[in-house]
Amino acid sequence: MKAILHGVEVIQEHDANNAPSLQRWLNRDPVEDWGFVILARRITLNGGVDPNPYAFDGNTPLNDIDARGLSIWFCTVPTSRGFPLFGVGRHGYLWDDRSDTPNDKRECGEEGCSGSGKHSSHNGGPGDWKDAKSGTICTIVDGSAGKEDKIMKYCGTHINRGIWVPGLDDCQSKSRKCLKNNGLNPPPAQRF
Amino acid sequence: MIVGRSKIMRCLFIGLFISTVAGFSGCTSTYTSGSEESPNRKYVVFVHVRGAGGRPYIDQTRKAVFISIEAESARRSMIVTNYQNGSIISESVVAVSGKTSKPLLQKKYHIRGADVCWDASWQNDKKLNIFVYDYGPGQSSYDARKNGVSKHELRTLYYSFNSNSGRFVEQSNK
Repeated sequence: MKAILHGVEVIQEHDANNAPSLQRWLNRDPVEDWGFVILARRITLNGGVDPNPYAFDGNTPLNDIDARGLSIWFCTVPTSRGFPLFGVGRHGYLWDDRSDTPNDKRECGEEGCSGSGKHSSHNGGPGDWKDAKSGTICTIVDGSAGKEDKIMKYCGTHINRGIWVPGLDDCQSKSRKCLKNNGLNPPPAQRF
Repeated sequence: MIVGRSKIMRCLFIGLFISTVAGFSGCTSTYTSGSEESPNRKYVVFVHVRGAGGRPYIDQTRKAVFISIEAESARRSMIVTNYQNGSIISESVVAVSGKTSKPLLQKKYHIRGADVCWDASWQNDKKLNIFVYDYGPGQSSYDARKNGVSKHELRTLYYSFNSNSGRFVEQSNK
């Protein structure tokens, strides 16, 4: 819904108001904030009248905490038009949206070791869309809340293992492996 | 004759595929990246660190550090919900418009370090320092930050906005 507020165009998306001319959100979304609320809503819809309040951290509230209710996202973005994929397929990476995550560790992924880094560099994700290319899709990873450090650390040490085989063992499948090896189910994602 | 030609094509295709896979087998890298806005949100610096080919990011290796400063642009996103038989099977956030601005600075450096990290601090909207560091060989930043391990400086970079050119330039020091 669009409205004019004090001369500024405001676009309401759910319960947050976005002012394009000011390039910012005017308020934090109390209902649809990314992260816990999305999970909670999904749990409610899928789980019926008595949602499990600890499902967000894999039913292990004593081991995994989720102080801020945020988590890991699995994101994909169209590849660049350059070598070697020539715009075919989608690049996959992991994104940590916690507000207290240092900005240097928001994204982790695998890429080719040549080129300028522009094809997969500084992608965006929930909470920080500054450089998100059009068509970026991020899906929350169920059960990742409270395990963010473990997953991102694992990504840094393991995502580059094995040979690169497009479609079989590439950035998307290796990002998925990082999640699977931490006991999580990667969400569905587009390949093309 | 036709069979012979198709065999050659098949061999060529397989050969090309194998050489591509072999070429990239040790030539993929782990990368980390993120960004930091200037105080008035006019500019944003993106830092992308690429590890060495075929090695874990945490290894003590020569890493490529890409820095770009851009004028910040509007961003929009929306939720896409996929239903199946009345149940939500996935819920995604989709970027519906991206940035198209031209970078005001683009630099690439090679820095040797383990789990290379960086802190970007905007002194004001026209001055930026980037402190590149690690926590020593074999030290993961996730563990080091929790354990209060001190940062080991690898390099500090200074940039300032040149109003004549309308671009950021690197300075040798403060």
